[in-house]
Amino acid sequence: MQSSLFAVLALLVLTAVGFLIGRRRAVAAANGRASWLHSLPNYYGYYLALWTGLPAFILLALYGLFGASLVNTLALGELEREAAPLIREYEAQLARDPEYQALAEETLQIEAEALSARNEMFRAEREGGDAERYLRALGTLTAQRNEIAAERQARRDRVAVSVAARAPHTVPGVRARAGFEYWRAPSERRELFISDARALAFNEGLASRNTEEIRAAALALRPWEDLFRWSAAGVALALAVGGLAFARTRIRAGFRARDRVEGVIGLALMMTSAIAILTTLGIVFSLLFESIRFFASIDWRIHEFLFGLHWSPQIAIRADQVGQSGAFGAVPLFAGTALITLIAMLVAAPIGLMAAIYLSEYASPRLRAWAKPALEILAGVPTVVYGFFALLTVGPFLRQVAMMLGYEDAVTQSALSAGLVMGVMIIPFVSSLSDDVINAVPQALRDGSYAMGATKSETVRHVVFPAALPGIVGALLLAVSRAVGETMIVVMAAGQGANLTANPLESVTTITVQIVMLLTGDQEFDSPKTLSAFALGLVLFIMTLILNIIALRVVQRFRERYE
Amino acid sequence: MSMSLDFPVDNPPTRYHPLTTQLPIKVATDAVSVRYGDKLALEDVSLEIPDRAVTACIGPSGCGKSTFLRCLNRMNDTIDTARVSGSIRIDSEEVNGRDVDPVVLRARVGMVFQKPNPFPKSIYENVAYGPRIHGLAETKAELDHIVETSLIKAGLWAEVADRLHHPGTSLSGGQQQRLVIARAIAVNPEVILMDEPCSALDPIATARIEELIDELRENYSLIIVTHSMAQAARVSQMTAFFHLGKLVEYGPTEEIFTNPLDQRTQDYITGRFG
Ligand SMILES: Nc1ncnc2c1ncn2[C@@H]1O[C@H](COP(=O)(O)OP(=O)(O)OP(=O)(O)O)[C@@H](O)[C@H]1O
Ligand SMILES: [Mg+2]
Repeated sequence: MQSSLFAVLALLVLTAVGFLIGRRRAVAAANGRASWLHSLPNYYGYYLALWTGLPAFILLALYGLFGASLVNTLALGELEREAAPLIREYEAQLARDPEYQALAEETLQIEAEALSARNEMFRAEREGGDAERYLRALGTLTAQRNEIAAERQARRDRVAVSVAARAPHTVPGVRARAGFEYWRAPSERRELFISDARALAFNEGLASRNTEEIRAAALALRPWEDLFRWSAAGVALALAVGGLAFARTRIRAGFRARDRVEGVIGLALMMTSAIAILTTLGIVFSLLFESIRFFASIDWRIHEFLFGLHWSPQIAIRADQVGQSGAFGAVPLFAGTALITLIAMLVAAPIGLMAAIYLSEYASPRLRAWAKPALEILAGVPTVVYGFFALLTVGPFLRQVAMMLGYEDAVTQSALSAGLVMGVMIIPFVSSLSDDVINAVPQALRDGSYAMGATKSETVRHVVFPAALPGIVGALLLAVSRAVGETMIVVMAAGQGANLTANPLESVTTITVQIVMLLTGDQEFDSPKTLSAFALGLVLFIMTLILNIIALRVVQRFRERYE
Repeated sequence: MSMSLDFPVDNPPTRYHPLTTQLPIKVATDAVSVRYGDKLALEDVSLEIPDRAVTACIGPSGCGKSTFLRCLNRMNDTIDTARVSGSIRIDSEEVNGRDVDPVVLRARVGMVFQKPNPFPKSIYENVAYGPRIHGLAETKAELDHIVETSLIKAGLWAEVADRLHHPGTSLSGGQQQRLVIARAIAVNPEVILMDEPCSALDPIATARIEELIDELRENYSLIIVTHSMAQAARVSQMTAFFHLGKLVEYGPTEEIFTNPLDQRTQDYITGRFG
């Protein structure tokens, strides 16, 4: 730790020195007349400072990012190699153990049975047979398999203990046992093992165990760590000095330092935008891969997912339940999302637009000065507040109204209450964006219309509104994607029942709500139920993507027409 | 309408001229002043503008030419801070009168702006805009007729007859300016105000507009603002020279240009300042 701190400080000093040398040398190269230089003297300073600091800091950053995991891999690889005899012995004993082999056979058989039971169940569900019976059978099979798995694990552990006990209590022996333990551990235990070893070796936090094996691993980590740390610091300093020396020789009166510095700035800016783009790509790809896993787990019945009318992802009771599955027909979710979005837009589009027109065309500057920020405060209200407003106030009110009108089945959590409140939430979004768009319409157009003897509302309807239309369409589509993606209000106000209905007084559920439901609480992350959340996320992403593409297209078409 | 002969004699020095006697007076202003907030932009302007003639307003930038023009169709109403005082009469009807509806007035006093500003609509719809909102056409055929005659008068018909339904903004700058002129004359105004109508145009387009202005003189009273002395001399019959918000000199163009009474006018038209 101290060594890297020292390296960073030294680099900073070197960079500053580079700056000063660059300046000084540039002025000297021009015989003290700065106006002879191609660039201002400071640019020569920056140029030298960049050459000094940049490569070295990049190296240090790489070390910071990858150093630790490299050290871990190397050190534990060493231990694993030393554990090779133990590993061979362990595998040989298991292979010789007839009981263990029998258990393995049995597991395979049960899994095959479970698979066929599961397929039967799907068939029964499709064709209206007794799906329940297969579900029960699946439950029994699961229990059996779990029992066997526990037994196998116990046998393995027993063999492992006896094998490890044969290693001598010398340093090489302990190292071999550490490697053996690491080799046998499942991935999350491996991480724990490493973090414990690192904690002992470098005082990085507290270790959860302090065994002989961990101490051995800690000792194995240290030399590698030292090697890397010092070589990183050394190479960084060497790079800095080298860069300084190299760049120094290039400084002449005619040298275009300013262009070089400009180039580096451009590159840095490009990198930041690349980070934004790559992050997006990363998210999209992870969505894609998880969705593919989901589709694989439902045997690639993608059409059933996209067009199925029945949504009931079964709850996974235990992490390793076999063949647990449910119905993944997402149409009720799509329909619910569309219904709520429609209601929200029916509220937000007219009110937001008219508010925008009033604010930009009719309101006096003084009124506008406080009304616009006031509207925007509405946008700052956390959605969860809207959520309980919908749940506690709007929902019961709507229910009473519906009952009074003779609709007896009315419920508190309805698509209507969620949609109305979401519409209110989106109003400032629509009005603020449209207001900006309307304000961007050139005053010359309004003047032209007024000069023709048009009134204010004629001017708005015939000139300002058509001119602002592309922007307004864009604003509305953005509002739609907001509504589609909004979660909290719907979770609270629309209920969770995946009903396929067009009746706004019933409770519905949306894509986002289901994602929340699927992923909250204790879940393991590879059951079809959890994975389906990723597929839903993918669909949501594609939907908003299409919306945005359409928005851009519309805007472009109007632009072509009017510009 | 009777011709009033009492031009103010000393300040500003305006002169009696045969040209003005032959033409009836269309617009008469008396002691018109305009303030933008505290700033006095136009001070005490009194002049009489003949019908069926072109009156040019010249003067250095910021002297209040546009402000004066905007008084005549009450476009200053659209600026919150603007206050207009004094009297403006068109055909002896008070423009600033309480009972005058600016919307109706603006149909009588058309305006063409410095930069062509066609609406984001088709060529046809641009010209039909005024007739539509003022209900000048009963039938589609009548509207077609108005659009066609306006475009013919504006000298644009030949170029756009086959693409009336293309966007107005797809035309060239000079065509757009003529489109805007067609739009203005479609409501059959009596006065047309033009604020530097050629400043955004090339010499050829400028020549076309000037030709057009000369033709329009047959039927309308035109008032144009221009920074080009040559243009003022070419197209106008009367010239008003403004300086620092005041009307310095007003008279027949020929005399203003050959024999100005005021030293400032002399300096301006010979290019010594402004
Ligand atoms: N909307 C406004 N608010 C405040 N002051 C204004 C406004 N419009 C014009 N003015 C001021 O009034 C004065 C006259 O302006 P005006 O636009 O009439 O000048 P102009 O003679 O048309 O100039 P130019 O030849 O540059 O167009 C200027 O000093 C200007 O700053
Ligand atoms: Mg002007």
